[in-house]
Amino acid sequence: MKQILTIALGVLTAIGGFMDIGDLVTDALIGARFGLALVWVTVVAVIGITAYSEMCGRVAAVTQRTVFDLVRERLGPRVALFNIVGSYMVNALTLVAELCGVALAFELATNVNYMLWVPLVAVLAFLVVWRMPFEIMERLYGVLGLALFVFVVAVWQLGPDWGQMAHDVTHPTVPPGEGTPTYLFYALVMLGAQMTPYEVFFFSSGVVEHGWDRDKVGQIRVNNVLGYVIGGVLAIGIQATAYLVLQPRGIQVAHLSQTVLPVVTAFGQVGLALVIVGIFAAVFGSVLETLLASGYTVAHHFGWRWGKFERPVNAARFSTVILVTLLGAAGFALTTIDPIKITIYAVYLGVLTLPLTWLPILVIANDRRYMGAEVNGRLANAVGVVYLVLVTVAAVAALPLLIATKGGL
Amino acid sequence: MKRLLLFGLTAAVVFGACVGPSRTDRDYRRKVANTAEAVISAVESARLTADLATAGRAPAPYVALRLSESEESAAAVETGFAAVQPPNRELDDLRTETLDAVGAATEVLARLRIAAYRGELHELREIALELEGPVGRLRDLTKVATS
Repeated sequence: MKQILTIALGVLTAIGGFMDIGDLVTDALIGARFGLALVWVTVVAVIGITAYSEMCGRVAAVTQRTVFDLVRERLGPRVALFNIVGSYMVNALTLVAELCGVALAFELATNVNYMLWVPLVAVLAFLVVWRMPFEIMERLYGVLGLALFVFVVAVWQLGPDWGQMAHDVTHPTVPPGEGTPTYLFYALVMLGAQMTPYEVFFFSSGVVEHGWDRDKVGQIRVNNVLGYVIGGVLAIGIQATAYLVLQPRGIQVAHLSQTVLPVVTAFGQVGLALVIVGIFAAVFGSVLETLLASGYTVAHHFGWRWGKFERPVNAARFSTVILVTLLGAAGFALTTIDPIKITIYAVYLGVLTLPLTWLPILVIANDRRYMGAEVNGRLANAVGVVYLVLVTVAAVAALPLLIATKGGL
Repeated sequence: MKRLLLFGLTAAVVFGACVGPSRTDRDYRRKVANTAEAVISAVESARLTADLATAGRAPAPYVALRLSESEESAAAVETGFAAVQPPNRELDDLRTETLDAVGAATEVLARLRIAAYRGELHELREIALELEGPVGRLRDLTKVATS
């Protein structure tokens, strides 16, 4: 029973890790604009992030060392430095988007401008990171984030034509009035939103910090597969509600308040209350994850003392990186930059950096000196190589598509 | 060479995202259609919110926020379109027609927002009915790119 509960809580954490402001915005935006024509990207992304996370978790459990520590040792400090600079920048930009996301959730509930909430959210994140125990922190937002499943239930409530939906999912086409480059641009946006490396840095660091060893590899796999698959179902639910309510009316998503409109249509005020709780929990969880992941990447590379369990005074440099990142992100969020645009650009830049972390992990997971008997099997390698090619092609195509479509116009 | 390449890439990214002036008839018509689509999005979003509010299915703070955002979106699109000059005199009438339709829609959106902030949620559906006219004109304008 205790084992089942532990796995269930781990799965909840993985679901919470999958769903963030990037997902919420892009799923609704894409559902409203392209219907269900990009659901296949979610399927591709779920398989990819599951494989990636499983490899990182297994590497961390077997070696008891973190990803960037191993990357520096295996590939040398220059490659590793390039790697962490890219990862840190994307992480920090994602943190800006997540801070704005939580503030926007407060704005939905109160109609008080989100900018006034940003400093409060930053203070709250600071207090939780410094004061709340790791496990409570992970599980609290995981459980509350389940409220977002109101999107999935709303699909039923809205009474769709299931046959038409199945057809649209299995026969994806570029909608009239949209160009193929724009379709591909948003396919990459979705990929970036759903294959976010920070989740994996956070997760693999947690494996080391919890002291999980090779006996826990099975549990890591179960957590990953179930958590990300359920997260993927949730993402498709958001796309489907936008497809059912927003697309027929020609509504393009430019605000978070529009993302929740289908749920309000289906369930009224109760639906809105649930969805706000869900958004707050999922996105605040992501604030904590991106914040800690920023500190982890830098501290692991330079070999500093690190960890949520460490008192700040004992891991001063790690804590300083986190604090400076939080202050910088909050400051950037307060520059009145459009929070939805920053979200789209953050997930898009994530696509550019995916190969930087994918390749080293694949190399290390294949190295018997580190992994011993837990080295990648044929399936893990086949998936790993296919996705390495995929994320590399995506990264190469990202910049030309951004320019050609003028940022998805 | 590396610096030049870096500069070129940066410039391409920065300027690639900017909205330039319309140089051709086709470009301008495309802008008209895009403007109409964007305003229709704001209007339809407001109409749905007004319906939900009148039916008591959406709380006042959310309704007020949603309607403010719809108005702001439409007003931003209007300002952006007004700043683009038509490439020739023949398109001046199209510009006027577009700005009239967008202006009419924005005016009703403003009234919706004011009513929502006054807590008059039961009146929103009736006010939203006045969007019918502007929406019809905007739908016609979405077709000018292909005409």
